[in-house]
Amino acid sequence: MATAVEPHDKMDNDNTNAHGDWHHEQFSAHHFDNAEQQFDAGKLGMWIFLITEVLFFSGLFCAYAVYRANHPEVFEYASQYLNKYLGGLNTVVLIFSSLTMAWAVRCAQLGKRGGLITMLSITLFCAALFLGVKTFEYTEKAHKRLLWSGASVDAKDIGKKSQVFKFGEVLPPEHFEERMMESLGVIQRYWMIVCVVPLICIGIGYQVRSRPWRTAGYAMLISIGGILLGIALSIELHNMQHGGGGSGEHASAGDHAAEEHAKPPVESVEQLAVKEKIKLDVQHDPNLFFSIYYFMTGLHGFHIVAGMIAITWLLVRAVESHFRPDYFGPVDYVGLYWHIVDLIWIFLFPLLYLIGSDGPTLPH
Amino acid sequence: MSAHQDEHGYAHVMSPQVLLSVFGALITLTILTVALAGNLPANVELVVALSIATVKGLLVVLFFMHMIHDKPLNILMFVFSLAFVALFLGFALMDTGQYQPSIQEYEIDHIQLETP
Repeated sequence: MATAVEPHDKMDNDNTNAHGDWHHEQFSAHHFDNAEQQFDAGKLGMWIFLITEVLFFSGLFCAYAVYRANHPEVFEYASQYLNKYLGGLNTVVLIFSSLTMAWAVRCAQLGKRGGLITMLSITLFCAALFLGVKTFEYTEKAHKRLLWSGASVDAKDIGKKSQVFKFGEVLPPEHFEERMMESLGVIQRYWMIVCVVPLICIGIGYQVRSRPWRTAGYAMLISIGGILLGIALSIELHNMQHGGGGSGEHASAGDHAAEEHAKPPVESVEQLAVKEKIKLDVQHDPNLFFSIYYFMTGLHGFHIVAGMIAITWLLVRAVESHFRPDYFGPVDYVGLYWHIVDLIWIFLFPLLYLIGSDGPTLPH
Repeated sequence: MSAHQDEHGYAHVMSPQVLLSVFGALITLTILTVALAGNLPANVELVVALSIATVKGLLVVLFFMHMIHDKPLNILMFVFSLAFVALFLGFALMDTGQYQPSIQEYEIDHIQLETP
Protein backbone atom coordinates (compact mmCIF):
# COMPACT_ATOMS: atom_id res chain seq x y z
CA MET A 1 0.00 0.00 0.00
CA ALA A 2 2.50 2.57 1.14
CA THR A 3 5.04 1.09 -1.27
CA ALA A 4 3.15 2.69 -4.12
CA VAL A 5 3.97 6.19 -2.93
CA GLU A 6 6.41 8.05 -5.13
CA PRO A 7 8.34 5.16 -6.59
CA HIS A 8 10.79 7.35 -8.43
CA ASP A 9 12.01 9.22 -5.37
CA LYS A 10 12.33 5.97 -3.55
CA MET A 11 14.43 4.47 -6.29
CA ASP A 12 16.80 7.38 -6.29
CA ASN A 13 17.33 7.07 -2.56
CA ASP A 14 17.63 3.34 -2.26
CA ASN A 15 19.32 2.19 -5.38
CA THR A 16 22.05 4.70 -5.78
CA ASN A 17 24.69 2.19 -6.81
CA ALA A 18 22.64 0.61 -9.57
CA HIS A 19 21.03 3.83 -10.63
CA GLY A 20 23.09 5.06 -13.53
CA ASP A 21 24.00 1.84 -15.26
CA TRP A 22 20.83 -0.19 -14.75
CA HIS A 23 20.08 0.03 -18.46
CA HIS A 24 23.34 -1.67 -19.33
CA GLU A 25 22.73 -4.72 -17.20
CA GLN A 26 21.49 -8.01 -18.58
CA PHE A 27 17.68 -8.38 -18.94
CA SER A 28 17.05 -4.68 -18.37
CA ALA A 29 14.47 -3.64 -20.94
CA HIS A 30 15.42 -0.30 -22.42
CA HIS A 31 11.87 1.03 -22.59
CA PHE A 32 11.55 1.10 -18.82
CA ASP A 33 12.86 3.93 -16.66
CA ASN A 34 14.27 1.70 -13.98
CA ALA A 35 14.23 -1.75 -12.40
CA GLU A 36 11.17 -1.02 -10.34
CA GLN A 37 9.10 0.08 -13.31
CA GLN A 38 10.06 -3.07 -15.19
CA PHE A 39 9.14 -5.20 -12.19
CA ASP A 40 5.81 -3.45 -11.61
CA ALA A 41 4.80 -3.69 -15.26
CA GLY A 42 5.43 -7.43 -15.22
CA LYS A 43 3.62 -7.84 -11.95
CA LEU A 44 0.57 -5.94 -13.21
CA GLY A 45 0.50 -8.23 -16.23
CA MET A 46 0.76 -11.29 -14.03
CA TRP A 47 -2.09 -10.15 -11.80
CA ILE A 48 -4.29 -9.59 -14.85
CA PHE A 49 -3.46 -13.11 -16.00
CA LEU A 50 -4.27 -14.48 -12.54
CA ILE A 51 -7.62 -12.68 -12.61
CA THR A 52 -8.48 -14.39 -15.89
CA GLU A 53 -7.49 -17.66 -14.21
CA VAL A 54 -9.85 -16.98 -11.31
CA LEU A 55 -12.69 -16.20 -13.73
CA PHE A 56 -11.78 -19.25 -15.83
CA PHE A 57 -12.09 -21.56 -12.83
CA SER A 58 -15.20 -19.76 -11.61
CA GLY A 59 -17.11 -21.30 -14.53
CA LEU A 60 -16.40 -24.73 -13.09
CA PHE A 61 -17.14 -23.57 -9.56
CA CYS A 62 -20.45 -22.28 -10.90
CA ALA A 63 -21.25 -25.66 -12.47
CA TYR A 64 -20.40 -27.25 -9.13
CA ALA A 65 -22.60 -24.83 -7.19
CA VAL A 66 -25.58 -25.21 -9.50
CA TYR A 67 -25.46 -29.01 -9.61
CA ARG A 68 -24.85 -29.29 -5.91
CA ALA A 69 -27.73 -26.93 -5.13
CA ASN A 70 -30.05 -29.02 -7.31
CA HIS A 71 -28.78 -32.49 -6.39
CA PRO A 72 -27.21 -32.28 -2.91
CA GLU A 73 -27.78 -36.00 -2.27
CA VAL A 74 -25.71 -36.99 -5.32
CA PHE A 75 -22.75 -34.97 -4.08
CA GLU A 76 -23.03 -36.26 -0.55
CA TYR A 77 -23.15 -39.82 -1.81
CA ALA A 78 -20.51 -39.66 -4.52
CA SER A 79 -18.01 -37.73 -2.41
CA GLN A 80 -17.65 -40.85 -0.25
CA TYR A 81 -15.72 -42.46 -3.08
CA LEU A 82 -12.97 -39.90 -2.57
CA ASN A 83 -10.34 -40.59 0.04
CA LYS A 84 -10.03 -37.54 2.26
CA TYR A 85 -6.63 -38.62 3.58
CA LEU A 86 -5.13 -38.74 0.08
CA GLY A 87 -6.73 -35.37 -0.61
CA GLY A 88 -5.37 -34.08 2.69
CA LEU A 89 -1.89 -35.37 1.85
CA ASN A 90 -2.08 -33.52 -1.45
CA THR A 91 -3.22 -30.36 0.31
CA VAL A 92 -0.28 -30.50 2.71
CA VAL A 93 2.12 -31.16 -0.17
CA LEU A 94 0.80 -28.18 -2.13
CA ILE A 95 0.87 -25.87 0.89
CA PHE A 96 4.45 -26.92 1.56
CA SER A 97 5.38 -26.26 -2.06
CA SER A 98 3.78 -22.84 -1.69
CA LEU A 99 6.00 -22.17 1.31
CA THR A 100 9.13 -23.17 -0.58
CA MET A 101 8.03 -21.07 -3.56
CA ALA A 102 7.53 -18.01 -1.33
CA TRP A 103 10.94 -18.75 0.17
CA ALA A 104 12.44 -19.00 -3.31
CA VAL A 105 11.11 -15.51 -4.05
CA ARG A 106 12.75 -14.31 -0.85
CA CYS A 107 16.07 -15.90 -1.86
CA ALA A 108 15.84 -14.32 -5.31
CA GLN A 109 15.15 -10.91 -3.76
CA LEU A 110 18.17 -11.24 -1.52
CA GLY A 111 20.35 -12.56 -4.33
CA LYS A 112 20.99 -15.96 -2.73
CA ARG A 113 21.60 -18.23 -5.73
CA GLY A 114 22.08 -21.46 -3.77
CA GLY A 115 18.95 -20.96 -1.69
CA LEU A 116 16.93 -20.12 -4.78
CA ILE A 117 18.02 -23.30 -6.58
CA THR A 118 17.30 -25.46 -3.53
CA MET A 119 13.87 -23.94 -2.94
CA LEU A 120 12.83 -24.20 -6.60
CA SER A 121 13.94 -27.85 -6.70
CA ILE A 122 11.87 -28.67 -3.61
CA THR A 123 8.87 -26.87 -5.11
CA LEU A 124 9.24 -28.85 -8.34
CA PHE A 125 9.54 -32.11 -6.40
CA CYS A 126 6.38 -31.37 -4.39
CA ALA A 127 4.47 -30.46 -7.55
CA ALA A 128 5.45 -33.83 -9.04
CA LEU A 129 4.52 -35.59 -5.80
CA PHE A 130 1.05 -34.04 -6.05
CA LEU A 131 0.70 -35.41 -9.57
CA GLY A 132 1.83 -38.83 -8.34
CA VAL A 133 -0.94 -38.94 -5.73
CA LYS A 134 -3.43 -37.79 -8.37
CA THR A 135 -2.19 -40.59 -10.67
CA PHE A 136 -3.09 -43.09 -7.96
CA GLU A 137 -6.49 -41.50 -7.40
CA TYR A 138 -7.40 -41.41 -11.09
CA THR A 139 -6.24 -45.01 -11.59
CA GLU A 140 -8.28 -46.17 -8.62
CA LYS A 141 -11.40 -44.39 -9.87
CA ALA A 142 -10.97 -45.57 -13.43
CA HIS A 143 -10.88 -49.18 -12.24
CA LYS A 144 -13.93 -48.58 -10.06
CA ARG A 145 -15.60 -47.27 -13.23
CA LEU A 146 -16.18 -43.96 -11.51
CA LEU A 147 -15.99 -41.82 -14.60
CA TRP A 148 -17.75 -38.87 -16.09
CA SER A 149 -21.38 -39.11 -17.18
CA GLY A 150 -21.71 -41.04 -20.39
CA ALA A 151 -18.23 -42.57 -20.16
CA SER A 152 -19.66 -46.08 -20.39
CA VAL A 153 -22.27 -45.32 -23.02
CA ASP A 154 -21.94 -46.63 -26.56
CA ALA A 155 -21.69 -43.94 -29.17
CA LYS A 156 -24.94 -45.03 -30.80
CA ASP A 157 -26.84 -44.73 -27.51
CA ILE A 158 -25.79 -41.22 -26.72
CA GLY A 159 -28.75 -38.99 -26.11
CA LYS A 160 -31.14 -41.73 -25.09
CA LYS A 161 -32.57 -41.01 -21.69
CA SER A 162 -32.01 -44.54 -20.40
CA GLN A 163 -28.33 -44.44 -21.34
CA VAL A 164 -27.36 -41.04 -20.09
CA PHE A 165 -27.31 -42.24 -16.51
CA LYS A 166 -25.78 -45.65 -17.17
CA PHE A 167 -23.52 -46.80 -14.41
CA GLY A 168 -20.31 -48.58 -15.43
CA GLU A 169 -19.92 -52.24 -14.50
CA VAL A 170 -18.34 -52.39 -11.05
CA LEU A 171 -15.62 -54.98 -10.63
CA PRO A 172 -15.55 -57.24 -7.57
CA PRO A 173 -13.16 -55.76 -4.99
CA GLU A 174 -10.45 -58.42 -5.30
CA HIS A 175 -10.30 -58.04 -9.09
CA PHE A 176 -10.39 -54.34 -8.73
CA GLU A 177 -7.42 -54.27 -6.31
CA GLU A 178 -5.43 -56.51 -8.60
CA ARG A 179 -6.10 -54.50 -11.71
CA MET A 180 -5.40 -51.21 -10.02
CA MET A 181 -2.07 -52.40 -8.61
CA GLU A 182 -1.21 -53.86 -12.00
CA SER A 183 -1.81 -50.55 -13.72
CA LEU A 184 0.28 -48.72 -11.17
CA GLY A 185 2.87 -51.49 -11.34
CA VAL A 186 3.33 -50.75 -15.03
CA ILE A 187 4.38 -47.21 -14.10
CA GLN A 188 6.57 -48.44 -11.27
CA ARG A 189 8.30 -51.03 -13.44
CA TYR A 190 8.86 -49.05 -16.60
CA TRP A 191 9.53 -45.56 -15.30
CA MET A 192 13.17 -45.92 -16.33
CA ILE A 193 12.11 -45.70 -19.97
CA VAL A 194 10.82 -42.19 -19.34
CA CYS A 195 14.18 -41.30 -17.78
CA VAL A 196 15.70 -41.61 -21.25
CA VAL A 197 14.47 -38.10 -22.09
CA PRO A 198 16.22 -36.30 -19.19
CA LEU A 199 19.30 -38.47 -19.62
CA ILE A 200 19.52 -37.47 -23.29
CA CYS A 201 19.17 -33.83 -22.20
CA ILE A 202 21.97 -34.24 -19.67
CA GLY A 203 24.08 -36.07 -22.24
CA ILE A 204 23.64 -33.26 -24.76
CA GLY A 205 24.44 -30.81 -22.00
CA TYR A 206 27.78 -32.46 -21.32
CA GLN A 207 28.52 -32.93 -24.99
CA VAL A 208 27.99 -29.34 -26.04
CA ARG A 209 29.04 -27.93 -22.65
CA SER A 210 25.65 -26.36 -22.14
CA ARG A 211 24.59 -25.97 -18.53
CA PRO A 212 20.90 -25.16 -19.32
CA TRP A 213 20.44 -28.56 -21.02
CA ARG A 214 21.90 -30.30 -18.01
CA THR A 215 19.78 -28.32 -15.54
CA ALA A 216 16.62 -29.07 -17.53
CA GLY A 217 17.56 -32.76 -17.54
CA TYR A 218 18.08 -32.81 -13.79
CA ALA A 219 14.79 -30.93 -13.26
CA MET A 220 13.00 -33.64 -15.26
CA LEU A 221 14.64 -36.33 -13.11
CA ILE A 222 13.40 -34.50 -10.00
CA SER A 223 9.88 -34.49 -11.47
CA ILE A 224 9.97 -38.20 -12.26
CA GLY A 225 11.21 -38.93 -8.74
CA GLY A 226 8.39 -36.86 -7.26
CA ILE A 227 5.72 -38.65 -9.27
CA LEU A 228 7.08 -42.08 -8.28
CA LEU A 229 7.23 -41.12 -4.61
CA GLY A 230 3.68 -39.78 -4.85
CA ILE A 231 2.41 -43.09 -6.25
CA ALA A 232 4.35 -45.12 -3.68
CA LEU A 233 3.08 -42.97 -0.79
CA SER A 234 -0.55 -43.26 -1.89
CA ILE A 235 -0.28 -47.04 -2.29
CA GLU A 236 1.19 -47.15 1.22
CA LEU A 237 -1.66 -45.01 2.57
CA HIS A 238 -4.22 -47.10 0.68
CA ASN A 239 -2.83 -50.33 2.15
CA MET A 240 -2.73 -48.85 5.62
CA GLN A 241 -6.40 -47.90 5.42
CA HIS A 242 -7.50 -51.20 3.96
CA GLY A 243 -5.30 -53.48 6.02
CA GLY A 244 -3.37 -54.82 3.05
CA GLY A 245 -6.40 -54.64 0.82
CA GLY A 246 -9.28 -57.02 0.41
CA SER A 247 -10.08 -57.60 4.09
CA GLY A 248 -13.00 -55.28 3.63
CA GLU A 249 -13.39 -54.46 7.30
CA HIS A 250 -12.12 -50.94 7.07
CA ALA A 251 -13.16 -50.56 3.49
CA SER A 252 -14.22 -47.10 2.46
CA ALA A 253 -17.61 -46.33 1.06
CA GLY A 254 -16.26 -46.93 -2.42
CA ASP A 255 -15.38 -50.51 -1.57
CA HIS A 256 -18.71 -50.94 0.11
CA ALA A 257 -20.34 -50.05 -3.14
CA ALA A 258 -18.14 -52.50 -5.00
CA GLU A 259 -18.97 -55.20 -2.47
CA GLU A 260 -22.66 -54.62 -2.80
CA HIS A 261 -22.48 -55.36 -6.47
CA ALA A 262 -20.42 -58.50 -5.87
CA LYS A 263 -22.69 -60.43 -3.54
CA PRO A 264 -21.36 -59.70 -0.05
CA PRO A 265 -21.13 -62.78 2.17
CA VAL A 266 -23.00 -61.41 5.18
CA GLU A 267 -25.34 -58.49 4.97
CA SER A 268 -25.56 -56.45 8.11
CA VAL A 269 -28.33 -53.95 8.64
CA GLU A 270 -25.90 -51.20 7.71
CA GLN A 271 -24.91 -52.87 4.48
CA LEU A 272 -28.52 -53.37 3.54
CA ALA A 273 -29.15 -49.72 4.22
CA VAL A 274 -26.22 -48.77 2.02
CA LYS A 275 -27.58 -51.05 -0.69
CA GLU A 276 -30.89 -49.27 -0.57
CA LYS A 277 -29.10 -45.98 -0.80
CA ILE A 278 -27.12 -47.12 -3.82
CA LYS A 279 -30.25 -48.25 -5.60
CA LEU A 280 -31.68 -44.84 -4.95
CA ASP A 281 -28.56 -43.13 -6.18
CA VAL A 282 -28.00 -45.10 -9.34
CA GLN A 283 -31.01 -43.17 -10.60
CA HIS A 284 -29.28 -40.02 -9.46
CA ASP A 285 -25.99 -41.08 -10.99
CA PRO A 286 -22.80 -40.35 -9.06
CA ASN A 287 -21.17 -39.90 -12.46
CA LEU A 288 -22.72 -36.46 -12.49
CA PHE A 289 -20.44 -35.66 -9.56
CA PHE A 290 -17.48 -37.29 -11.26
CA SER A 291 -17.96 -35.25 -14.43
CA ILE A 292 -17.43 -32.16 -12.30
CA TYR A 293 -14.67 -33.83 -10.28
CA TYR A 294 -12.65 -34.74 -13.38
CA PHE A 295 -13.11 -31.35 -14.97
CA MET A 296 -12.10 -29.43 -11.87
CA THR A 297 -9.17 -31.60 -10.75
CA GLY A 298 -8.11 -32.20 -14.34
CA LEU A 299 -7.91 -28.52 -15.14
CA HIS A 300 -6.11 -27.97 -11.84
CA GLY A 301 -3.69 -30.80 -12.66
CA PHE A 302 -3.06 -29.20 -16.04
CA HIS A 303 -2.13 -26.01 -14.21
CA ILE A 304 0.25 -27.99 -12.01
CA VAL A 305 1.97 -29.35 -15.12
CA ALA A 306 2.22 -25.83 -16.57
CA GLY A 307 3.63 -24.63 -13.25
CA MET A 308 6.23 -27.41 -13.30
CA ILE A 309 7.37 -26.33 -16.74
CA ALA A 310 7.61 -22.73 -15.53
CA ILE A 311 9.57 -23.76 -12.43
CA THR A 312 11.95 -25.80 -14.60
CA TRP A 313 12.51 -22.68 -16.70
CA LEU A 314 13.22 -20.70 -13.50
CA LEU A 315 15.64 -23.39 -12.33
CA VAL A 316 17.57 -23.19 -15.57
CA ARG A 317 17.80 -19.42 -15.27
CA ALA A 318 18.65 -19.56 -11.56
CA VAL A 319 21.54 -21.92 -12.23
CA GLU A 320 22.74 -19.49 -14.92
CA SER A 321 22.73 -16.73 -12.23
CA HIS A 322 20.27 -14.62 -14.18
CA PHE A 323 18.49 -13.32 -11.11
CA ARG A 324 19.78 -10.56 -8.90
CA PRO A 325 18.24 -8.27 -6.27
CA ASP A 326 17.18 -5.76 -8.93
CA TYR A 327 16.00 -8.42 -11.37
CA PHE A 328 13.92 -11.20 -9.84
CA GLY A 329 10.59 -10.53 -11.58
CA PRO A 330 10.18 -13.94 -13.24
CA VAL A 331 10.60 -15.74 -9.91
CA ASP A 332 7.99 -13.49 -8.34
CA TYR A 333 5.52 -13.91 -11.21
CA VAL A 334 5.79 -17.69 -11.36
CA GLY A 335 5.49 -17.63 -7.57
CA LEU A 336 2.20 -15.72 -7.83
CA TYR A 337 0.93 -18.23 -10.39
CA TRP A 338 1.95 -21.13 -8.18
CA HIS A 339 0.13 -19.64 -5.17
CA ILE A 340 -3.05 -19.22 -7.23
CA VAL A 341 -2.85 -22.91 -8.18
CA ASP A 342 -2.49 -23.69 -4.47
CA LEU A 343 -5.36 -21.35 -3.64
CA ILE A 344 -7.69 -23.11 -6.07
CA TRP A 345 -6.80 -26.48 -4.55
CA ILE A 346 -7.51 -25.08 -1.08
CA PHE A 347 -11.10 -24.57 -2.23
CA LEU A 348 -11.37 -27.75 -4.32
CA PHE A 349 -10.30 -29.96 -1.43
CA PRO A 350 -13.21 -29.29 0.97
CA LEU A 351 -15.72 -28.95 -1.88
CA LEU A 352 -14.90 -32.33 -3.45
CA TYR A 353 -13.42 -34.47 -0.68
CA LEU A 354 -14.98 -33.30 2.55
CA ILE A 355 -18.73 -33.64 2.03
CA GLY A 356 -19.90 -35.80 4.91
CA SER A 357 -17.09 -38.18 4.16
CA ASP A 358 -17.05 -40.08 7.46
CA GLY A 359 -18.34 -43.41 6.32
CA PRO A 360 -21.42 -44.04 4.21
CA THR A 361 -24.39 -41.83 4.87
CA LEU A 362 -27.33 -43.96 5.79
CA PRO A 363 -30.82 -43.16 4.63
CA HIS A 364 -32.95 -41.55 7.29
CA MET B 1 5.48 0.65 5.64
CA SER B 2 8.09 -1.71 4.31
CA ALA B 3 11.08 0.44 5.11
CA HIS B 4 12.30 -1.73 7.96
CA GLN B 5 13.15 -4.66 5.71
CA ASP B 6 13.94 -3.15 2.37
CA GLU B 7 17.09 -4.52 0.84
CA HIS B 8 16.70 -2.93 -2.56
CA GLY B 9 14.08 -0.26 -2.72
CA TYR B 10 11.11 -2.08 -4.18
CA ALA B 11 9.06 -5.18 -3.38
CA HIS B 12 8.88 -6.28 0.20
CA VAL B 13 10.94 -9.24 1.39
CA MET B 14 9.00 -11.62 3.60
CA SER B 15 10.81 -12.63 6.76
CA PRO B 16 11.27 -16.35 7.49
CA GLN B 17 9.24 -15.98 10.70
CA VAL B 18 6.20 -14.74 8.77
CA LEU B 19 6.54 -17.44 6.09
CA LEU B 20 6.89 -20.23 8.64
CA SER B 21 4.06 -19.06 10.87
CA VAL B 22 1.73 -18.73 7.87
CA PHE B 23 2.72 -22.25 6.82
CA GLY B 24 2.05 -23.51 10.36
CA ALA B 25 -1.38 -21.86 10.38
CA LEU B 26 -2.24 -23.36 6.97
CA ILE B 27 -1.29 -26.88 8.06
CA THR B 28 -3.20 -26.53 11.33
CA LEU B 29 -6.32 -25.38 9.46
CA THR B 30 -5.98 -28.27 6.98
CA ILE B 31 -5.82 -30.80 9.83
CA LEU B 32 -8.76 -29.08 11.48
CA THR B 33 -10.92 -29.20 8.37
CA VAL B 34 -10.13 -32.89 7.73
CA ALA B 35 -10.88 -33.71 11.39
CA LEU B 36 -14.18 -31.83 11.29
CA ALA B 37 -15.36 -33.46 8.04
CA GLY B 38 -18.27 -35.77 8.67
CA ASN B 39 -18.59 -34.79 12.32
CA LEU B 40 -20.93 -31.87 11.80
CA PRO B 41 -24.51 -31.55 10.57
CA ALA B 42 -24.59 -31.27 6.78
CA ASN B 43 -25.75 -27.67 6.58
CA VAL B 44 -23.19 -26.41 9.12
CA GLU B 45 -20.43 -28.50 7.58
CA LEU B 46 -20.41 -26.71 4.23
CA VAL B 47 -20.27 -23.30 5.91
CA VAL B 48 -17.49 -24.35 8.29
CA ALA B 49 -15.42 -26.05 5.56
CA LEU B 50 -15.74 -23.06 3.25
CA SER B 51 -14.95 -20.59 6.04
CA ILE B 52 -11.77 -22.49 6.85
CA ALA B 53 -10.88 -22.58 3.16
CA THR B 54 -11.47 -18.84 2.90
CA VAL B 55 -9.20 -18.12 5.87
CA LYS B 56 -6.53 -20.33 4.31
CA GLY B 57 -6.97 -18.59 0.97
CA LEU B 58 -6.64 -15.20 2.65
CA LEU B 59 -3.42 -16.27 4.36
CA VAL B 60 -1.98 -17.45 1.04
CA VAL B 61 -3.00 -14.29 -0.82
CA LEU B 62 -1.93 -11.84 1.86
CA PHE B 63 1.42 -13.32 2.85
CA PHE B 64 2.65 -15.82 0.26
CA MET B 65 1.48 -13.59 -2.58
CA HIS B 66 2.66 -10.45 -0.76
CA MET B 67 -0.68 -8.76 -1.15
CA ILE B 68 -0.41 -6.80 2.10
CA HIS B 69 2.61 -5.05 0.56
CA ASP B 70 1.29 -4.86 -2.98
CA LYS B 71 0.21 -1.90 -5.08
CA PRO B 72 -3.41 -0.74 -4.53
CA LEU B 73 -4.16 -1.26 -8.23
CA ASN B 74 -3.26 -4.95 -8.09
CA ILE B 75 -5.33 -5.43 -4.93
CA LEU B 76 -8.28 -3.57 -6.45
CA MET B 77 -8.24 -5.72 -9.59
CA PHE B 78 -8.08 -8.95 -7.65
CA VAL B 79 -10.91 -7.93 -5.31
CA PHE B 80 -12.98 -6.93 -8.33
CA SER B 81 -12.45 -10.33 -9.93
CA LEU B 82 -13.68 -12.02 -6.76
CA ALA B 83 -16.69 -9.69 -6.67
CA PHE B 84 -17.56 -10.68 -10.22
CA VAL B 85 -17.19 -14.36 -9.37
CA ALA B 86 -19.63 -13.80 -6.49
CA LEU B 87 -22.08 -12.10 -8.86
CA PHE B 88 -21.68 -14.90 -11.39
CA LEU B 89 -22.32 -17.66 -8.84
CA GLY B 90 -25.06 -15.71 -7.09
CA PHE B 91 -27.08 -15.00 -10.21
CA ALA B 92 -26.60 -18.50 -11.63
CA LEU B 93 -27.84 -20.04 -8.38
CA MET B 94 -30.78 -17.67 -8.11
CA ASP B 95 -31.70 -18.43 -11.69
CA THR B 96 -31.65 -22.23 -11.41
CA GLY B 97 -33.41 -21.93 -8.06
CA GLN B 98 -36.23 -20.11 -9.85
CA TYR B 99 -36.95 -22.68 -12.52
CA GLN B 100 -36.07 -25.85 -10.60
CA PRO B 101 -39.61 -26.40 -9.27
CA SER B 102 -41.07 -26.33 -12.77
CA ILE B 103 -38.49 -28.87 -13.98
CA GLN B 104 -39.41 -31.16 -11.13
CA GLU B 105 -43.09 -30.77 -11.89
CA TYR B 106 -42.47 -31.63 -15.52
CA GLU B 107 -40.39 -34.68 -14.57
CA ILE B 108 -43.06 -35.97 -12.26
CA ASP B 109 -45.73 -35.51 -14.93
CA HIS B 110 -43.89 -36.84 -17.96
CA ILE B 111 -40.62 -38.64 -17.45
CA GLN B 112 -41.38 -41.05 -14.65
CA LEU B 113 -44.21 -42.52 -16.68
CA GLU B 114 -41.80 -43.48 -19.45
CA THR B 115 -39.09 -45.19 -17.37
CA PRO B 116 -39.93 -48.77 -16.43
